Amino acid sequence: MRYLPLTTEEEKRILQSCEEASFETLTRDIPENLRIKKLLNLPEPLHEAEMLEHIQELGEKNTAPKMCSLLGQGAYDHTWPAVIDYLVTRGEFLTAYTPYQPEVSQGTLQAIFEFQSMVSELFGMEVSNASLYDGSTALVEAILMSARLQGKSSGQVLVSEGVYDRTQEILKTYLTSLGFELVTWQASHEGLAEEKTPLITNPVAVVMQSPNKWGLVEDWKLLKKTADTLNTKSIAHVSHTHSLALFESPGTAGIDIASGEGQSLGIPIGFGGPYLGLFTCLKKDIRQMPGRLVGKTVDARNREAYCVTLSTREQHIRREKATSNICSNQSLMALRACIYMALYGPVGIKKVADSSRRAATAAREIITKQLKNAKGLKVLNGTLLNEFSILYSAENERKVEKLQAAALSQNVILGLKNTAPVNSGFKGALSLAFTERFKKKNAESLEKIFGELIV
Amino acid sequence: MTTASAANSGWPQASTLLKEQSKKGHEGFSLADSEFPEAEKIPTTLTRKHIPGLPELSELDVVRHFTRLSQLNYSIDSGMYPLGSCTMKYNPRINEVTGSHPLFARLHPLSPDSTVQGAMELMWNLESLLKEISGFERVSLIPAAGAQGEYTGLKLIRAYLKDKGIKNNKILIPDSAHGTNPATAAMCGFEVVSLKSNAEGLLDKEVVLKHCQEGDVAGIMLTNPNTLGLFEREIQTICEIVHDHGALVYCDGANMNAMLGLTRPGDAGVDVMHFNQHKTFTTPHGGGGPGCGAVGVCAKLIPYLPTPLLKKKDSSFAWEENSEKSIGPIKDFHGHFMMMLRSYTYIRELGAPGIQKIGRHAILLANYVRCRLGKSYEVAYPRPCMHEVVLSDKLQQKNKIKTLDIAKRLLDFGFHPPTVYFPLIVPGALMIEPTETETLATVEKFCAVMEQIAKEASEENAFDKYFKNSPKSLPFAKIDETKAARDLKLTWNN
Repeated sequence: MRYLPLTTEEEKRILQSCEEASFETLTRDIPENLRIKKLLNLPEPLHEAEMLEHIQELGEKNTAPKMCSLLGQGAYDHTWPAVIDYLVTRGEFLTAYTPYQPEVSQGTLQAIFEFQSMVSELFGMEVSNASLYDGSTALVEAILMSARLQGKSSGQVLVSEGVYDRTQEILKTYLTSLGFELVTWQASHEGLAEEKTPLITNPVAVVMQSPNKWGLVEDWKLLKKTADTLNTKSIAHVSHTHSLALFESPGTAGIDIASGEGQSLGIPIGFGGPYLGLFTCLKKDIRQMPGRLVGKTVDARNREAYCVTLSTREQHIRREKATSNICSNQSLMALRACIYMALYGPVGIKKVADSSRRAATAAREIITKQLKNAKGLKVLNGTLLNEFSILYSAENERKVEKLQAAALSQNVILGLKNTAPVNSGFKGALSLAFTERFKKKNAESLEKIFGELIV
Repeated sequence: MTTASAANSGWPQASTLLKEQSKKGHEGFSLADSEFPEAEKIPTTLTRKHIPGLPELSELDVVRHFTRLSQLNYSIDSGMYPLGSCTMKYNPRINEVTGSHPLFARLHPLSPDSTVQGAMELMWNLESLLKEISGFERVSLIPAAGAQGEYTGLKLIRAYLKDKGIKNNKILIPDSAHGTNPATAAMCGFEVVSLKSNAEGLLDKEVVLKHCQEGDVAGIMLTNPNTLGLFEREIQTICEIVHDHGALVYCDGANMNAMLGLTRPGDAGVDVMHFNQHKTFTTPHGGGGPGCGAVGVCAKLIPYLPTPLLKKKDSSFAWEENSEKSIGPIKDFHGHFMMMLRSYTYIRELGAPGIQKIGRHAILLANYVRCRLGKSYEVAYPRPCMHEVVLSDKLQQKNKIKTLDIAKRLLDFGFHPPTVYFPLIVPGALMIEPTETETLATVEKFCAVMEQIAKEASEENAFDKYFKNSPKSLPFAKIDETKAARDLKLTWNN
């Protein structure tokens, strides 16, 4: 077998060298009644060609690849250049271990250092770590860090209503059992965080997401002001990294911690992962930061070099007192993002953001026109990046579902059912996302779908 | 004017920072102009005023930069990694073909179930394989990595006990455990109680019993084989003791490779365990991640599994989002699917005949190392080991040569060092795991180098003669890690 080179002859030699009569005596620590005595019930082994056929067959059971998908909510089907796939599958990157031995890991280390630098540039923040699992868990870590910075082990976290529903559920999983309470910072009927500061006692952090779950761009300055009023930390959550090419960065607004999802930076949506959790903060707070960090130093010949640093925050040294239990980073995904940012630069990233915004804007105009006379259906206005939402009343829920089903039969995945702003009086929202892949011909079929069904 | 410099001379060449190579007007992308008219103007209050300081480079600039960087890395593809507890086995290339397959790569995670049946079937199949291999009743593939698998597992224990009205808050963790175990327990709000290993390096059932009798125990987190590479002989009794006191057993599956095909944790009485698919099932380490966690559970923990839960009805698949007793979602979407494609490929290719040789071969090679190097190094616990063996620098310390010196000297001979100074209970530990994908010839070569280093270490003036400036033959000399922490430079700008 190609991955199992040890021969029977060699097995015998090893047993002899260890003065053991058999493999069973060598492994005598395994209790007899726990030993597997028969062949496991697994499907027959597949040779390479059979394996590829099998995967192809399974793949062909997916009908989505033939469709025009308008799904977003934190995963966006942007294009990426072939050269990323080529570079990240070089065995030297792909099969390298965590760079704990810096002398033989300078490639990974320098790439992470450049990644940290470019993420900091985009976020306008002083420092970035080497990445966390995904956007939502990065936000969890941001809140835990905020609590540590203020020496709090309980209290209230003010979370804007525009944070994805899924992310809010994930925050609940991690935070409520630790004694933190999540309080909703309501949105206006227009789908943006309310100007008025909600009153909370013992605040741990204020969290705002932009673009928010309805696709609207929020103002980080309001987040900063609200956190200041409550005398606590501000956490900006950037749901789509390309937004930072067009819209003000968290750093400029003076935000304390900014987390985000970096999937749009050259990472396939891949049915949900792996993605890229981004995490940035101020340099003065670095000792409470979670996750791996790479720093610049020199080697014994005084040449510039890099290594993992401030490990004393991490679990392998600090154990139960560590800043997080995380033991990996999304290194290969961070490398993808690093290469993407190097190829696209400020001009390319802005162009992708702008093309996606143009597509979404055009689609919003088309649909707004179509829905002009429709009762109980309203398109949310406001500044968007690449996603927008249509609010629907309870009576219209069936209609929206029918619309989605009709679209599906025409090979269009018509977005995702979402919650509406509580203050809007609507029952729900249909959120539609667009990227530079969306073309005029797609816009025409969208117009047709809405035209046929909304009368 | 650019002046020539020999600073970066020699092969492979280092590469200056992207920022320093940047030239205004260069670009490395190919993007069509939008077919749509310009969008409405962004309000001034929201618009970005400063262009982010990203580099501008041609595609070839970028290719050369990252190619050069890659050449500064050690990797499985370039040589053996004897890293104990890390299972640095070969990552088959076919995995990269299936793991980037175009019929899966562009599937949105929130697609209607009917449009992604192939992907869901694959997840169902992978779960079935893992269940059979481990003896668990269900497997959640969602956790992003081992540490998140641990988190999920402890949350499940918490939820189960809460449901039964039990408020116990202590988690017992052996002193030989990975750092993630206590860190995870703390993240779940548990109190950590450290258990001292016995003279054989194993968990002592009497110690476990004593702690359980003291009360307030929610569970135990053990690793099997443990981090000394030893199989916990008393595992069944320990599981019984823990269960008798109303607590549950978590197994850290980091060392699952040793058990493959030989024994199943589910049969031993373990209630919940995470798999490290980047170790056991060959998804790439990628320089530190992404991982792929998966958590196997016994029947009584199924109701608490994280959402979404995959369901099969007749021959079609659906996600169940709402489950009354579930701990809720633990991460975005439903796990590192593209990594699942890879581990699925690996298991299906090997089938039972292949899988059942993995543990056997890994154990044989580790024991070869133990028996051979036991003559020149101290073996921390001199008894047959499983997939890894822990040596120490005790003999070499007599001549003032430490584990770190041995590690750096290994680099001079072209081998990556073993895991060093772990587990913490062995002073100067050198933890070696050859893995089953290495040939005996390669393992013999590694042992010969280790013997050579032991011989050097025994000579007079050994440090100055051999170890002082190691590594010597690499593009980089010893790197000053203290300076990195003292003068923090974490980006181009600070």
